[in-house]
Amino acid sequence: MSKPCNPGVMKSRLARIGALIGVYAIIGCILLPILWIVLTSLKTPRDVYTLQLWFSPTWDNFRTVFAAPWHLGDKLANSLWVALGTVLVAIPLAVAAAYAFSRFRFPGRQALFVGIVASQFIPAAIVVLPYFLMFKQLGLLDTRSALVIVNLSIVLPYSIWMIKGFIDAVPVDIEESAMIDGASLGRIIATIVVPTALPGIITSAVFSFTLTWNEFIFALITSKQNAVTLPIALVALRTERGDLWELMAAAGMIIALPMFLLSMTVQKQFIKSLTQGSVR
Amino acid sequence: MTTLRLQGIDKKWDGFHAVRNLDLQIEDREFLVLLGPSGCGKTTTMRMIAGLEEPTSGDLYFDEQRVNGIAPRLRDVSMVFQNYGLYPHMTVRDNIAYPLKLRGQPAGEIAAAVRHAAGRVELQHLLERRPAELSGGQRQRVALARSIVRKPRVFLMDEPLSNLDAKLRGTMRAELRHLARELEVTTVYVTHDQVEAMTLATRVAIMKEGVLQQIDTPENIYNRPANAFVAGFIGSPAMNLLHGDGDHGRFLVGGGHVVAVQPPREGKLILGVRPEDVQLAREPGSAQLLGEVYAFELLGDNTLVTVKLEGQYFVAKLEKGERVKEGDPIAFCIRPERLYWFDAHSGDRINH
Amino acid sequence: MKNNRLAYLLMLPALLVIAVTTVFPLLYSLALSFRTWKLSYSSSPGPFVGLDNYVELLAGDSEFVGAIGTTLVFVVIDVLATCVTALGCALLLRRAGKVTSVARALLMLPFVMSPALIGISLRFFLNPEYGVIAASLGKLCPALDSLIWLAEPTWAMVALVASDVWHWAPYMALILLGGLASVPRETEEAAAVDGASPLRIFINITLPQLKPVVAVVILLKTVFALKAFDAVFALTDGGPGNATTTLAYLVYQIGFKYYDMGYAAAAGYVLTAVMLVLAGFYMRLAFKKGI
Repeated sequence: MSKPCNPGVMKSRLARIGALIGVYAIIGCILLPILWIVLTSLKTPRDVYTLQLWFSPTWDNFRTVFAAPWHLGDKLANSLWVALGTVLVAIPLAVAAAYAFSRFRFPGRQALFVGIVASQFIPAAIVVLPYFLMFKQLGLLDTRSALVIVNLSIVLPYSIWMIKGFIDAVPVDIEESAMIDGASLGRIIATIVVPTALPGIITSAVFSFTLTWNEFIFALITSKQNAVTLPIALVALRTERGDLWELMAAAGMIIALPMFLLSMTVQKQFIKSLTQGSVR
Repeated sequence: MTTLRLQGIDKKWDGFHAVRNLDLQIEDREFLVLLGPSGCGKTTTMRMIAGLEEPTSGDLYFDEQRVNGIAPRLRDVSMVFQNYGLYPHMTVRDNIAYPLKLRGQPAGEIAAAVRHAAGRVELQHLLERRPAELSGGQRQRVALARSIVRKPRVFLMDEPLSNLDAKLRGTMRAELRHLARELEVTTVYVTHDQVEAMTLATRVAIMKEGVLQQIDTPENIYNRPANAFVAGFIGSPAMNLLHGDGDHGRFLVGGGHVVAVQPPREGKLILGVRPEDVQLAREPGSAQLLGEVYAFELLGDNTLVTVKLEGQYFVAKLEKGERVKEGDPIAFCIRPERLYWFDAHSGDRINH
Repeated sequence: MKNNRLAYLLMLPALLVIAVTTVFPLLYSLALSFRTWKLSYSSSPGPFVGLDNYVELLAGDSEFVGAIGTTLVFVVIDVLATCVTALGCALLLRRAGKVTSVARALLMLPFVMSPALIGISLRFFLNPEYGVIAASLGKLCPALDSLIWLAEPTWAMVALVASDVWHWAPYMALILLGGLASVPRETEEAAAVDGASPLRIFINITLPQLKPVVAVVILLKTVFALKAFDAVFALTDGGPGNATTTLAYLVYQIGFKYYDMGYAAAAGYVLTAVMLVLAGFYMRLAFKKGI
């Protein structure tokens, strides 16, 4: 029964008030910094540097940041291209591999899976070096395709791991019924397993999108002009002409807002999969 | 010496009214069973006695001392939970010892008490195991041992037998009865199983949708149910409750089928009669209810015959030797003192 | 009965991509770490030097040893702070209620923000002239007024840890909430009735049942703390001086500021070795019952 979750312990009034303050403190700690950045992005430089709380908002910062010489629009397009590209390649590959790990028992299954999971424990710093050198030689520096390749190395293992968990949760019975009905394996995966595990697959896709969108060190090293993504554009605003905080706030909003919206849509599913007592 | 008094106890959650204005007086050493279907408020009531929930309004007294707001650990009760609530990371021994350890009793005393309690429920050989290694019945006994290891003022048991298989339930019922009487502690017991209620209780309190329907000894509840709900809840197979009309000295089931009994008044009524109080009409002219056999079940020690009257089912419990066939005509007579009449709107029993 | 050939076929594309994008660069790096190669001098790899890079790193390089110390300090404080904060949040947000539901819904937000963005924002907030946190703290405690936060080694480290905690603790709180949900309420209620105070219930009953989840959380957080780069770059650039130069940042520095590729690869591999050991522990914990 979903009654209020209370470990049945009667708390004193003081403790209850303290707990409520704690919850509000959590909400405040999370929201206030974000709020301040939102406000900063709408302030004129003068308001920013004088720490004004009441000010008249302006969209100028956003206009500036999309115009020359920042051209945030291009960076936004790059980020989108790279993130979408990575996810579109990674997810189908991950689904296929995850299905194999979930439904088949083949020699080397355990070792391979552990190896795939282990690859997430590799610091980016060590992989950046060879990438830089290889791309340099192949003339792929500063290209979006290079970034997609790099992000695939991050996203693919994680997706396989996550999606396998979701496919594990699909009952085998419905696949077996389909087999008896005469469906081929490809048909079963496409028309039965994927639709059933779809919320989980979408969650993994969103997660991967987030990882790619926020990816920093690879983009920092391998891009210079053409393939600059949003996080790099953000720090670039810092090194030139001093710190232009109002523009950085605006750029920060552009980076963060899509992530907020995306995470809100999948958060229910994500929280559900977590609170079902399984930690992945 | 512990009496419990609930006065005007009310519990609401977010629009769901779990317990409505409950008044209950539980005597010392009584074995009170809170009986009713799921969602009737019996478990909520018990949790309020334990202190795990607080009433929205109303007062709770232990020995005439108001205990509202007092933490469970200070109420000196013990509780057996439906899923036992055993501590999975502790051995059986540590589980049973925990309440005593919390009270800072010396190790020697604790060891002796644990041994004693474990012996009472025949767990001596399982003391070093963990709950995960035990069967359902064994876990239940650990929970029981933990609750009797100290002498609380009140025993609380929340459907302790509902997770056991039927055969085990029977033996455990007897054990519980024996234990409660031996320990002489006031006990409140929650269940939806009327057999448990009838066999264990000194008094039964039946609840429905948060409202107390009747509180009385099992015998009185069985013989003098306060309303149609109680009448239909107690007894197996359940009492027949036929809806119909009193009409000129006869009862018409569903407004149609005639039963030759004298209703207390005209108008909409419910006729109640237990299957075991129905007999085959052997004397000519004694038949009060005629029908066609709709179904029959051979139960070994008796036979159940079902008749359908205007869409309502009527069950009679006959001697084990009786043989009938589906479709056969059949005639029943009923002892007049075993008839019950209930008001069709309120369900209350009509005394006549 | 499905035959295994199909399995291999399904896995092939993914494994291929992983081999190319992860395994190959890893091996390349390893080979690189056995050579010297200063990019600024030549665009082709230098001569093979065996274990010289490693020896130099561990024996002679004060920067490297310093970075190990810095990393240790950062990781220990960071993991402690994050896990305690996450546990506290999880316990506070366990109960149902309108306010706690709102709070739980917000827990994902810090995690989806780029750590670089968080780092830059904190830098902004700590600016002595117009940073909102600097100003607020200055008003609360006059001694801290007009302190240049990021110029102090200790405060810079504190700020770094703070940014990481803000990023990770809410997400870890979500994971812990999941763990708490699987602790049967009845075990805690039974303890309450048995006579345990709320603190004792938490220590004796809740925490022991939470052990596996907490272990995983601590391990994962340690791994991610070792990896941390974005925030270091955005917030402090490893400074002041090298007060916040972690190993990950050092590798970047050696490779892309000094362009000493072979040496950087060696430094990176030391870090990788540590992380793979941790990975081993994680595997044992997470896959105890098979994959």
